[in-house]
Amino acid sequence: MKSLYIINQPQKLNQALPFISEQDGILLIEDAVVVATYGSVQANHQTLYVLVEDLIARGLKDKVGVEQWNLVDYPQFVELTLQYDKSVSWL
Amino acid sequence: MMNKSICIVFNKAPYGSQAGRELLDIALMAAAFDMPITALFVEQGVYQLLKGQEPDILDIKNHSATFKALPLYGIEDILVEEDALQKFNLNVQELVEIDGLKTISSSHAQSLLANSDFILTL
Repeated sequence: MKSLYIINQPQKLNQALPFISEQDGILLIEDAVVVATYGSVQANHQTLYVLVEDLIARGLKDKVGVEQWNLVDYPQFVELTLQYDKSVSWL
Repeated sequence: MMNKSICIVFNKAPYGSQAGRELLDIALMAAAFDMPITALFVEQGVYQLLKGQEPDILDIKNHSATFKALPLYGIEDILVEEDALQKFNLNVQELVEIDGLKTISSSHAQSLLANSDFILTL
């Protein structure tokens, strides 16, 4: 099963990574979006998304390393939850 | 119809939040509905199971002994992340005695999560 892991705090990404499978997606929202601005993440093949509204709100949209991160807006967030078999809020 | 499986993930130490207690309540409640449940303790969540907790000193109720009730409610998959125990210099003997408690690797936890219908953290 493909899961979409939703992360809302910056320190939670590294904590969750060992438990996230290769076929999964990772979506950063809220305070966690800052992670998309400081270089690369040690992801192994997971698809990486970041919520653009939360980047814009924080003035960070132009600081994202574009090649690794897919920017999604709220409607696309909804699409993603349908595209994956389940969503996991890793709090 | 097969009941959907739930993996309840404890990833925070007590007592900075009520997450552990609330997840425990959810586990016991879901068990009453005959859902296949796994209780998974990862990262600092392993501290939930440490023996000798005395939260009364903070006027907080001690829920750690209630973890022993999990098997009585039919929850037999009680899994503790090995790497977390090592990282925090703990061993299984220091945890509350729960029938059937097992340690698992992070990669085993990863495949377990991939195969669960629902995953819950708080």
